[in-house]
Amino acid sequence: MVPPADFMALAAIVFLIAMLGFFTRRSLIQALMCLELMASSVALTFIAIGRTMPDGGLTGMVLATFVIVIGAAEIGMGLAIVMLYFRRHGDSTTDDIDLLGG
Amino acid sequence: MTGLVLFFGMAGIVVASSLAMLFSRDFVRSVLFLLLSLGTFAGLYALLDATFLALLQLFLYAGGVTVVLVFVVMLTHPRVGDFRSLLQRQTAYATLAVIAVSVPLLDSLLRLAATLPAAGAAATTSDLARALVGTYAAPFELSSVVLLAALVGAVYLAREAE
Repeated sequence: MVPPADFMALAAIVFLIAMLGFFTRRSLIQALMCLELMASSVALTFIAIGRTMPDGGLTGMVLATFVIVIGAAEIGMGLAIVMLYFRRHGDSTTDDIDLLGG
Repeated sequence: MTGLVLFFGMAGIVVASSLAMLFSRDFVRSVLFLLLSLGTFAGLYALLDATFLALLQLFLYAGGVTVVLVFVVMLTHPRVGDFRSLLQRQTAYATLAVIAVSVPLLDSLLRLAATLPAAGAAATTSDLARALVGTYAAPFELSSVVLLAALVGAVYLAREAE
């Protein structure tokens, strides 16, 4: 059995890679892709830390289920907003999104 | 032993495909690297005995999310220039910020790893099912409301203006 801490270290590394991508890429679509990667690595952290608990990872799995559900809702809303922005402005980069005015 | 080989194999695939997703110029290729990365995450969940979550990850992310992402890439046909044009103006500061976050994160993780107990017997999928409709029934039902709200919101936002 691989120690759960190894999974958590891997999840942290992938989270940092995704964070770098989220902050540096100009495209809204790629920012959303990085968010999905971050959500997956958080779910992996929950599952890994859950395995060290006396309930055999049940709490971790329940939390990871909710992370996956929220991730699905978030990508649906996010892509709808990207489509709306593209229709209004003709591009999908983050350059001009610096106001909350719509 | 087999577990260790599988873990390091999958860890290599996940890190390599995440980096490839970040550095590829072509958007569709980027989505395909994301698909590889998320699919390998499912393998990692299975290695931690979370078989139901591994399947959920494959169906939802690999099956659903990447297809929707490819559709949005095709509908918005983003312009692709050289690699520098894909980056934000504040890239140097952002990189510094990520490095600044990574130091305390990895440090606290290393200190936590020394105190973690070894993993015991794993919970099964039927345990998870009982917990989701028993102890965690209220948040489970709320999450279906969240999904419904997201669905209605997405349709409302993305509809053609009349």
